Amino acid sequence: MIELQSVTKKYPGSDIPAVNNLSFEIPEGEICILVGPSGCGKTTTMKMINRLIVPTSGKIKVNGTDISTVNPIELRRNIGYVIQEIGLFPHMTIRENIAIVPTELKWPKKKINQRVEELLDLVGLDPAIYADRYPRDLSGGQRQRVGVARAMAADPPVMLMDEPFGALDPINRSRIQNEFLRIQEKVRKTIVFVTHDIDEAIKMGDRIAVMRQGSLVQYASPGEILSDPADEFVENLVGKNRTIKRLNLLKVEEAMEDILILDSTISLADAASAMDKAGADIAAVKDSQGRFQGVVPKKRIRRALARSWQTTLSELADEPDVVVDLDTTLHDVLSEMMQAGEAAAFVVEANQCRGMLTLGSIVETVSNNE
Amino acid sequence: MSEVATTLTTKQMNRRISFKSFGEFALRWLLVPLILIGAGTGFAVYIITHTTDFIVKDFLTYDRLIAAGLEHIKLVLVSSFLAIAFSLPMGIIISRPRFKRLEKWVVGITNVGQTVPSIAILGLFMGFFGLGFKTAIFALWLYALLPILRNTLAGIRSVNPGIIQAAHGMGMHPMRILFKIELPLALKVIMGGIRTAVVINVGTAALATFIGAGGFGDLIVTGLKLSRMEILLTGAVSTALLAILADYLLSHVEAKLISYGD
Ligand SMILES: Nc1ncnc2c1ncn2[C@@H]1O[C@H](COP(=O)(O)OP(=O)(O)OP(=O)(O)O)[C@@H](O)[C@H]1O
Ligand SMILES: [Mg+2]
Repeated sequence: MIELQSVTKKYPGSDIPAVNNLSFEIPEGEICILVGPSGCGKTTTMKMINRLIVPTSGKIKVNGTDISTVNPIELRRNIGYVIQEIGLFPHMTIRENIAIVPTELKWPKKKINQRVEELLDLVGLDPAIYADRYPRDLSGGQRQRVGVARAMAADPPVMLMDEPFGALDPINRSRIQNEFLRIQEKVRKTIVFVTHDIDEAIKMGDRIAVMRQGSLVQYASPGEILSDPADEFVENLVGKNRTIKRLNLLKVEEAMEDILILDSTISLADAASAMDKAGADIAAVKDSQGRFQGVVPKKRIRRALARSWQTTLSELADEPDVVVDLDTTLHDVLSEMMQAGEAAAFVVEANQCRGMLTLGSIVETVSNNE
Repeated sequence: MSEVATTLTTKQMNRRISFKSFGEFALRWLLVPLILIGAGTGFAVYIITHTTDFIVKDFLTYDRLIAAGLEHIKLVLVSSFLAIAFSLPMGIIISRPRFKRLEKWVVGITNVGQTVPSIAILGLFMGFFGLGFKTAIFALWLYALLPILRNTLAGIRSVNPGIIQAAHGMGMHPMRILFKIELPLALKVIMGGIRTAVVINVGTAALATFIGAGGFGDLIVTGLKLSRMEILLTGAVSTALLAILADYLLSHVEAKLISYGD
């Protein structure tokens, strides 16, 4: 848990405080997003938590201990720190970069190597390929994954992340966000996450702290920020399309409809009648091992029957254009559907078709959640 | 399967690279130096064997040449080593924010050493150290200080402050940040300073002859005094080749130390 009590920071030579009387609490295991316009004091707030900056007044507690009473080096080794872009050391390999804090903590070499490989796996980079490369040999997205892995190296209970995915294109950004949330589900760290991007804040945050000129304007859950913005400033920050923003909050799981699943071995006539009975226009086809093969519209089966084509259900089934996971946000699903020009998306996990989404089901879910 | 294949090829590649680089190693470290030394020796041998002039024959002996060469190298090595031993730690110290106010003084003083003509320094300090090796070493040392100090400072200051703050933010000890982050990243610039200093010293060491400290300068001055072009040229060519050799070797030390590129 992180507690800020009336924290103020005045930089020397400046009359206006960069952070002004800030008080809030981040419960253990939650992600708190600091969001606000450039210069509102997000980075300053974050750096006060690991004592890179000392507050002018006020108190900060991490897991119950006043941080001004502990050795800053000790404190920092227990707080993972992810910095935008420049964070990795260019003259060290990925392995050496990730091993920084464990090395400082004098872990045995074997344990360090094990940990490095475990972490690279966790962030989706093959250790055999990447561990001994230098940062310049990685793409921006891969580097940011390494940054996250490095911050988690000594398994700190608290992590500070300053625009960790800032430099990424929207597609990679969305992917790494999803992966990060999946990891967080497992590791449950207390996280302070800085971003400029309100969409990212809504998607990633358990709580959002909206800041303006060093002060806290609103501290609430993403849902509340959307439905009940504290003032005009927050309203503007969130933007006009609050309903559309809500798409970032909702997951596939919540808008998913059931889908009829047919065995690929049954006859076309049986398939058609099963679909009639279920009132389904489209069905998923699975092979004898239960693996998802594709989807088939009823129209196509009818046409094949009418012309008495010699064909099977597997042959008629198509790989769908839009395939998503259970925890994809509706925002991402919709944008993929738009891009592909499709009115439906299919949920496939572990080779099984779990259900489908249509424009109708998405609209309904959003309006029910308003 | 394909992953295993990739790893294997990477490893094999590394092995092949290191094997190939043995040839490259010989080529880089030995070939050019051997050519330079060969050229110098060839030049000297040619003159010694082809001269009919007794004065030249008398003065230009192999023993004398070797002695001058060793003296010259010793002057450069000792003075450069002492200069590094002073300037590198000093540069590190004044790069720490809390000692920043020392910068003006230290850089100012070393700057004086650099501005006063070398021959004047030799003359000045002869009064303290007398004739010979010590005075020459002192003058050369004074000369080499500034390039190394200035580059050490510039190198450390060129390290992205964000990187250093990242290191602090992860709880690295300041000493470890210096040795594991700042110095490695500053190494290229620091090595540049050392190179400059050593090359300057090879040239300046030729003046050591005026205070009886030997070196190739003996040949040049004697050549002038006796109006014997052969002697003068032998000294001048040797000095020039030694400077090229030093620069070449140091540039390769530099490349070897800094393998990660930017
Ligand atoms: N070292 C410093 N000295 C003086 N003023 C500073 C310093 N660092 C930041 N400031 C000022 O404090 C204010 C808050 O800066 P801070 O970096 O916390 O903003 P931020 O919210 O992180 O902005 P951004 O989104 O652009 O990163 C700004 O007005 C900035 O100019
Ligand atoms: Mg910032």
